[in-house]
Amino acid sequence: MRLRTLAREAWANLVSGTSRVGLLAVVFALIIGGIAAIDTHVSLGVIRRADEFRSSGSATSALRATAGISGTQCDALAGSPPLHASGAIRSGDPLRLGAMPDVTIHSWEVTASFVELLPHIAPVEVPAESSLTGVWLSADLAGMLGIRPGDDVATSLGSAVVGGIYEWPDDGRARELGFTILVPTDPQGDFDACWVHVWPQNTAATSLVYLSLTGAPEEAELGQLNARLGAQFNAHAAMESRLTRHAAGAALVLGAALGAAAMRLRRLELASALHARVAKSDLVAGQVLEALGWLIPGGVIALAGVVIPAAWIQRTIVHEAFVGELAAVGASVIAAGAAGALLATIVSVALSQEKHLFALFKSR
Amino acid sequence: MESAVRATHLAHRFATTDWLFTDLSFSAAQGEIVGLVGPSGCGKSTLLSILAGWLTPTEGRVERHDIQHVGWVFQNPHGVARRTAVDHVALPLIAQGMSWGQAHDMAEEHLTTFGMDGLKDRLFMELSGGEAQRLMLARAVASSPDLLLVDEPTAQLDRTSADTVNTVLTQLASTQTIVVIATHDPDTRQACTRIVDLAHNVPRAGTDQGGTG
Ligand SMILES: Nc1ncnc2c1ncn2[C@@H]1O[C@H](COP(=O)(O)OP(=O)(O)OP(=O)(O)O)[C@@H](O)[C@H]1O
Ligand SMILES: [Mg+2]
Repeated sequence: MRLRTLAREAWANLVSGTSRVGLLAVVFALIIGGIAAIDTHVSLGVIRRADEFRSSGSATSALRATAGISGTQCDALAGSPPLHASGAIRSGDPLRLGAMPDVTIHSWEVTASFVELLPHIAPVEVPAESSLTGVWLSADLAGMLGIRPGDDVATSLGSAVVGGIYEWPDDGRARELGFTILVPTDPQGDFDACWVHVWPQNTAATSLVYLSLTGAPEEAELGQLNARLGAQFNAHAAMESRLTRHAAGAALVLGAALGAAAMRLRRLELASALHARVAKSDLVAGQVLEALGWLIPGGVIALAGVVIPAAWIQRTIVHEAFVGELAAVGASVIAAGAAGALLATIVSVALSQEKHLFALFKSR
Repeated sequence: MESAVRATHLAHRFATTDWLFTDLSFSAAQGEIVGLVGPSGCGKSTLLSILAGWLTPTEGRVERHDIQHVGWVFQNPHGVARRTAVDHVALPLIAQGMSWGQAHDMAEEHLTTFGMDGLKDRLFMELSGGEAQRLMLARAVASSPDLLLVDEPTAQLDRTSADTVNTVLTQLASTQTIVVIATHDPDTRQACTRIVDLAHNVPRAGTDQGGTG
């Protein structure tokens, strides 16, 4: 049979309602889309836990060694994943702010890279014209003084521009950056600690922090910035062991069941076509075309039902990087369902026989 | 080589029935119309399915010489509910290599032959029982069978339609096809070149010889 004729025959079945594309597309979208949505939702939970772990500072380590850290060495560690950011910090001179002359505030001197580490572990606010120069204030202090990023702030050490404000929630993280002011400083010289942000967690990458050590290793102490959520969060393992880890397999089986059921309903029609001398290969090709007639719209509806809410959730709640991963989780479930349906269609048609018409003769 | 069907010493019974027929022998060659007659329940449809090769006889055997394609028309016609009459007849033509357009033109001719020219765009589910059966007959004819097995083609038809069918079957036999018909209709019986009476298990003419009609 010529391809054009084949396609025309398939099209006639589609538009006449013989292939039941509307019904099958809806059932496919409901069942397979439902599985995909549930799996996406469960995966979102894993991603949220990972995101919380990361943004709470649990994936950030500090090597503390008073005056035993090289600022330049520490800054130089950052850049190649999984070691995303690093920076050195040391105690600065206590200072007073013009607005609160009675209160002595602890200040910290930090390297420029340290400021770049902050967004990985805290929500930050910078002026529209972002500059990493200028001092950084913790949100509690800035809020008390009514200071906005870009404002000038008068201190006992002189006036400075506020280069940024960072939140430092009391979520179990080390408290030292609360109610304080960070003053970017020349990285030359000795610092008290070197912070590294490593994600996904990796012991070898974390231990690179020792390269910044100039003092005696015995006096250095490596610790997690926030230990509340545990020492480890293996997002990969959490995905592997998630409740819905077999969703794609289930979709494959249910998609196959749907494809087989669709062909089962047309068993006599298939037998009758073979009886009308249609070659088995043409029959398979025609039914694959008709199956695509409901798998494509069904798959698109299912995908829309997964991706649109996922994208919305991502925009409102989750870290940007994850929308692709979520969509991939949903899409792979839908693809598995479609593959199952196509496979079952091919197998069902391949197994159909002219002889099945005899069942009709017997059951009359 | 000429196509031919030869049945020798056929006997059949189902597990739950007595012998339907025993020691039944006959043959048929191109150009013949064989009528299977006998009262309801005597085994006419059963014999057709044995000839088609779908049922193994309890005893005896069926030899088929040079038969590529067997056409069947059932007592209860089965079609695709939402496809048109002409689509049904066009399918075997398409399967044999015609384009969509050619097949549809030719299918319309087949429908005209069976007196169904006005019904070409009717959906299968809208056809009456008799129309559906004539349609499936037209479809079977369009599949160019070497052997055509027809079960009660005129049972549901009025006199005029039945005559049309009988005429077509006669014409068909004059081409290349061997036609075997199970029937109660005396006129169909008249059109046959050979009668196999299952009730008496004795072919009326040309027993076991074949070829001459
Ligand atoms: N699969 C079966 N199993 C058991 N008995 C069967 C089966 N098929 C048919 N029979 C019985 O065999 C007998 C012959 O059936 P068959 O359909 O061949 O009769 P027929 O001559 O075609 O009748 P009619 O003229 O009414 O169509 C009937 O009594 C029927 O009940
Ligand atoms: Mg019968």
